[in-house]
Amino acid sequence: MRVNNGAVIQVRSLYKKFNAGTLAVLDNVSFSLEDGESMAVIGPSGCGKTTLLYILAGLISYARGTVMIKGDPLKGPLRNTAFILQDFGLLPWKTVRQNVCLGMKLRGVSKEKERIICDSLLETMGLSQYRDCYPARLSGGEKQRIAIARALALKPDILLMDEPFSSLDTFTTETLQDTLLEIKAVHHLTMIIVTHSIEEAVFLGDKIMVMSQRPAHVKAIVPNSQAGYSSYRSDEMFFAACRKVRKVVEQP
Amino acid sequence: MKATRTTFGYILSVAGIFLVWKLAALGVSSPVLPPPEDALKAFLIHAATPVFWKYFGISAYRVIASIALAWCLAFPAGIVIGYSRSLDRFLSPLIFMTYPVPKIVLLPVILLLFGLGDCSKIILIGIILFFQILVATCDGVKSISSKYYDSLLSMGATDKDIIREVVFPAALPYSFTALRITTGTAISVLFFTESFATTSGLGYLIMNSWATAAYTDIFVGIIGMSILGILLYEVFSCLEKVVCPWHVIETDTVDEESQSGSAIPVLSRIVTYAQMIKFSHTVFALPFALASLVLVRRVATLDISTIFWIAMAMVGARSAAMGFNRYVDAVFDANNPRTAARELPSNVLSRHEVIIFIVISSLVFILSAAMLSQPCFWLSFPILAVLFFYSYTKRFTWLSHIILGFGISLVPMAVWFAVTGTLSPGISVLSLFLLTYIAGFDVLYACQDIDFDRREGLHSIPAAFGVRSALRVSAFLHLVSVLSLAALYRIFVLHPLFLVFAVVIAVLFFVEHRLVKTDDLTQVNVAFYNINSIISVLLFVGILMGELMWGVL
Repeated sequence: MRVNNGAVIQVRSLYKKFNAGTLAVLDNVSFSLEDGESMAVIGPSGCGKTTLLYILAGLISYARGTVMIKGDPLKGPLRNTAFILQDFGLLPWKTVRQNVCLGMKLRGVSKEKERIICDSLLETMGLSQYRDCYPARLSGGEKQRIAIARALALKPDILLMDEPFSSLDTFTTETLQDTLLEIKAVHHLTMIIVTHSIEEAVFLGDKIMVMSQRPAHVKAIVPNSQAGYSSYRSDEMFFAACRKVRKVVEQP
Repeated sequence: MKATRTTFGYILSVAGIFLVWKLAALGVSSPVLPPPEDALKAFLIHAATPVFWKYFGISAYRVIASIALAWCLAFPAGIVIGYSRSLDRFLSPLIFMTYPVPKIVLLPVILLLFGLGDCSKIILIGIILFFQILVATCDGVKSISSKYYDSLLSMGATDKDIIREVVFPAALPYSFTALRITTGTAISVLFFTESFATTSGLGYLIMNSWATAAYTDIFVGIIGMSILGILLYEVFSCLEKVVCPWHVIETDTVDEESQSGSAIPVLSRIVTYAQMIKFSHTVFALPFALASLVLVRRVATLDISTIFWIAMAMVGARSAAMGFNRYVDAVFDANNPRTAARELPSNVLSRHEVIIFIVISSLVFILSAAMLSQPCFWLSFPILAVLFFYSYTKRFTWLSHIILGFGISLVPMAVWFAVTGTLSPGISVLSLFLLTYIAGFDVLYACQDIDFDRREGLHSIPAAFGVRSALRVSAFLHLVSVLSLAALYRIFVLHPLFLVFAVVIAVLFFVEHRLVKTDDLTQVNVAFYNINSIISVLLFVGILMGELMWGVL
């Protein structure tokens, strides 16, 4: 068991309010994540889950509390953090390859290296044949794969995902969830996933953070260390964990 | 697909303008509004002179230079103003205050400052376009979803990166839309600037013709300016497709979801009607009308108004017949997977609209016939009856293919009668060719529907006798077609060159029947479209050559 200082992400007493006079969005949120650990965040819609992700991605500032990434206070977007937005944030005017290469282009990676990394990622994602297509031609599941490929191209340690599978059908979702678990293991990612599905939270999260109505505070963090393999979905322990989380969610 | 739709849209629009213009000219009956054919003739005469193209070139130069100037300044300005909040706060009120001011009133000031040459014209048009493109680009930038910004910011993008990767490409289609919309404005202002203090350009041509009371020449300038406008519009559409390929995909996807989402609803409506009556298939019948005209020149002289009314009668009759056929067959079409996507069964057009369309088309036919001669007017009714009757024949006789061929084969005889007032045995041979040729490939077409026709109790030769026999019947009909070509050669004493075309047509028929196998009907569509349109055109060219070559060789 590591000491708390070894945590990759450590959030303490985080407080966020957008405009003076309105209700706070986040109130006293604290949690920490170890290297390679995943956490699912679940809670009522509009409770501030997305705001939490935006703060962790360095896109918006926070008023009070501390956010430490690998021991350093967070001040802006970090090179080792990848963020996949709710509707993937793919640029419609770029081809699949250009989208995947975008982050590398911004970081001045050489064209040659860009191409090699991109081609191998598209290969593993099974998207090679769409290399020169525009995203408008692709299905939701394919778009999400591209977004994941784009994030992985930057070789991140931390992956943040906002309701990654909410617009997809069940079969696509389950396949992609399995893919995500593999990727997490292979690339040794620390992962935070915001979701509104209890099943998804239990399947993907080594722990599940249940949040309350606005102003969102942490109702409970449910440990779920059995998660992380494909057959967990039909395991009796999986259903037990789901029941447990649902009970916390339904608590007033 | 889209390109052909646009082409037919244009053809139909031009035909519509021509008709309305013709009627208006007849009604006004004044030299101020010459009939369209006179204006067109005058235009063609002018188009053969270098002066006209000099004027066209000067006008084109002025308007293109203005557009280029306006875009190069307005697009970057629009991007910066739309993206930067602080600039927007200062400049937006200024833009929106000056936007509604009619910049055209600046003309005297600009003339005084920049002289009477091209420069002042380009600046005035440029100023007006600048604001339109600027506002469209600004609005485009402001409508960019914040998710694209967030997505890039999370990767550590700078403002420069965001402008290059997001704002610039996202705003491009908006500026192209603005360019297309402003072509009309640009041409209008061009006319205004060319209407005085200049001695060149299309606007000058119009004003000069007016001053010298050369009323027909006014329309030469008008047609020239219209062509310039249409060309610019199409050039911008093409440029947009090349520069923003993703945008075309997105709008296509939207189009598939909602057919009504077209930018020009009237035009798309016209195109829908044109698709319903398979306007594109006119290519099969039109060459026969032209061929008949070539042949009838031997016994009578032709004038432009006869040709015009013959063309109108043909369009009217065809539209009425096809519209009626679609109306009557809507029930069957809806059940047949091959035709379920047609306009009426799929509810793109309502039954009510189709009835109105049939009535109007029939009126155009009857009116055109009346304009040709009294007997033509009386004959138009039985002909319409035959055309409508065909649609019911499928329900009780497998001879329906022959009735269809007969209906269409009336074209050469009708043309002959319209011009001469009599019939001749020679022209009925051309009709026989047309009858057997159409009936033959209608049998081939029906082979695709054999299962459906049998299930629905519809009559056709394949349904009654099987595919194998049907193919034999079709081959026999086309054999008669080839024989009637030989007869045509003898009766009209055509130049031997005609025989070359006749042989090519015979070979094409042979190829067509080789392509269609009893067990593989997938080639029917290819055979149907490509070969048949070539046969029609070949026959016309063959007769034209057979006629003209006597004078040359």
